[in-house]
Amino acid sequence: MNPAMSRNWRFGHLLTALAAAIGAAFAAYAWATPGSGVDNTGGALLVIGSSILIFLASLLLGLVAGVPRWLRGLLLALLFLGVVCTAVAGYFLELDVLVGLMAIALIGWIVAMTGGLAASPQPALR
Amino acid sequence: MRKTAAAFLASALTFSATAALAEDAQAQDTTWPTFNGDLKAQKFSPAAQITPANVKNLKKVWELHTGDVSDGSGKVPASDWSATPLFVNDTLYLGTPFYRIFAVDPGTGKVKWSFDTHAKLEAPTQPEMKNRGVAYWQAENPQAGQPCQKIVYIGTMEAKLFAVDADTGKACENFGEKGVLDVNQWNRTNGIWPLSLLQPPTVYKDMLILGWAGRDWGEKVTPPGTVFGIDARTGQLKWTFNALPQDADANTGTSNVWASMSVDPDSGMVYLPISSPSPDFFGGARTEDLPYATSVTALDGNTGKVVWSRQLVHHDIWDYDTNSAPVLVDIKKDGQTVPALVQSSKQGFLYVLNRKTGEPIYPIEEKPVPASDVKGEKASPTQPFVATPEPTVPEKFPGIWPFADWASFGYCSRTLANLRYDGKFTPPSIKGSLAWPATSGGVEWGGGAVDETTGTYIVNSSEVAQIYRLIPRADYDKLKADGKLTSSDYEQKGADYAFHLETFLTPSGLPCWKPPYGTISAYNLGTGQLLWRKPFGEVQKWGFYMPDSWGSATIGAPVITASGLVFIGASMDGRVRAIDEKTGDVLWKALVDAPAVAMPATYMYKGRQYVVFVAGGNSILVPRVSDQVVAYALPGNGS
Repeated sequence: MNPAMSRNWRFGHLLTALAAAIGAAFAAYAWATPGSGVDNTGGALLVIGSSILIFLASLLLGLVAGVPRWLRGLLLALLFLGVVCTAVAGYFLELDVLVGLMAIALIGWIVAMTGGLAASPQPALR
Repeated sequence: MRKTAAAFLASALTFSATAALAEDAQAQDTTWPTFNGDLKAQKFSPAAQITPANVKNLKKVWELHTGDVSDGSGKVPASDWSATPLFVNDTLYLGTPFYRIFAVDPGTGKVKWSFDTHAKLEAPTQPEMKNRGVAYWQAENPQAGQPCQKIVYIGTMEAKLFAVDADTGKACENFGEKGVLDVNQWNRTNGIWPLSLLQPPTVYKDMLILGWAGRDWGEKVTPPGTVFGIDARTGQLKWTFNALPQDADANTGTSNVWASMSVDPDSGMVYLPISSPSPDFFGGARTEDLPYATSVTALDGNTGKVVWSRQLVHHDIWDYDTNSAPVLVDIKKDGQTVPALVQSSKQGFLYVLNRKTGEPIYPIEEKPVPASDVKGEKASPTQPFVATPEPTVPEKFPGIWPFADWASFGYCSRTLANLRYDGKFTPPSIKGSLAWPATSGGVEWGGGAVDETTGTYIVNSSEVAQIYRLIPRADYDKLKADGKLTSSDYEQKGADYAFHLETFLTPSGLPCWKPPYGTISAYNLGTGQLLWRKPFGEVQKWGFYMPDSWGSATIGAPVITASGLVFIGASMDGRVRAIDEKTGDVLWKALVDAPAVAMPATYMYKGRQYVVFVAGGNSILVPRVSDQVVAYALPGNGS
């Protein structure tokens, strides 16, 4: 564990990553299951992709300390957009579980931000 | 005190007896022995165990996959399965789009037996492998130990009608030739394609009444429409009804009966929904009077002779086939009981007629309609219009949907500006005409359902705009030579014009017209009054569901139960629903594997009410197909 990262920052991003991972798995199940209402649809593929990207980005922010400031800012902004847009897509796909998971992911993002604000994460090696 | 106690005891006993009787009545088995539930095509079940109060508890109790499904990506054309299961003889009977029969335990979904016609998995007359189920007949006094006292029939696209013992699944040797009747032997003019038996025959007493499907968009001259009365035991031909005069054979064809029919068991009259003549969209070669084309026609079921006929579209050049069995119902109107029928239509009119005479119960008015501007075409100067009951589709095109126009950078309004649209019955044209409603309906082949006890008629209907464009023969030939034909171009071989048909969508697939795209409506037949109308189903694009208020194009039909519930699939979204007959509110819904374009069947079996949906899909709605049959019931024993 990198001591330079605040607890909230790490916890928040890992929570987001976990929610996104479950979301991706759930969306993949829905995509592959006849009768899910979204099986074999482009919309389901889209949220699988976006959930995976959210997972990777939040994992990067939560575990890797040496992320440049500009990339960190960009990823934080993209994470927020990704979570909100995935939730909206989930709403229109009528995948209520995915919407719920994105709500958890958003909570994770907010927790991470509070951690970031309280104790700005530092690169592991400076 | 004693008197009071005695009165209380008497009341309690009376109550208990009444409750027991009610429970008995409720628990009594009810059947679903025909495609439409009964010969009158009412699609009404006396089953009342599932109610508006408890329907939310409905659960899937069994599911069956027949294996007969194709998405069209391989050699076998896509399947299009609209078979309503029959429940009769303590068995659920299903026909599949690969022309097999399944006999299924109604309580568990376990297959008792299956029968394979070994039909070719080809579609000579249709774009897809199609089937709308099976028919059932039984002898009035079945003889014990004798085979084929109860028979299940299935037709094939190759015009073969198979008769199978309902108990054993063995072919009935005395029917046709070893259990198979070649209906194409009666194709009296030409053999360009077989008389496809997609709709199961109508069974009336010991007679099978048989229509057929063809391909009326491919050629000018096609087999003329016929309906056959056949002996249910032997397949022997008893009578033939010809929908077209014989001297029209050189110019046209079809006006066939491809949908289901209804029968009044009291009068023995059979009611035929007769389709349009060929070719569908250009009538220059068939200007003679074809009075039975696009009509509802009543025959004497014993002889096949016409009792009355009413043409619903004159000189049909819109493919407005009369496409569903008229619903026979006794209407209470102005203090009198009137023997009526309700004929729904693609054009959105509901024709309410006296079923004994064919005379309108609510007025039908001949109104002037636009003339054709196409050389050689002579559109009818008038068409019949119905104001009451209110049509299922608004009379005028609702206008361009601003969102679609914005999203397509003005494509919708630009396209509309170049089309001809002069209101209902605007004829097809060379520059392109807007058809509202179009050949896709309006109301499709399922038609409506009626609760005779309340006089409520329920019907689902699409609101779809299409573009009709005639292609001069020389232009079509050039497109063909250049390899530029699309799947939306229809040859109409032998006619002066080919035809291009497309739904009015943006390049990205958004409808160009304002929603809703489908509705479900309830009418009081006694007054003709619209009771309620709601958007029905949900549009789905790339998996995303659009708002409820948009509704969805709809194919299939509702059924009504005595408890005041409407069960229906029929939407693009692959959902099946239970709707409150009184309010139109959706009380329950469930997802199935593909749009349930077949009307459901509901029945009581061993004290439990089942609702069975066939979720087969239809590519007109969405390219999603399945072989799923799914039954729902209340948990436990249902009581």
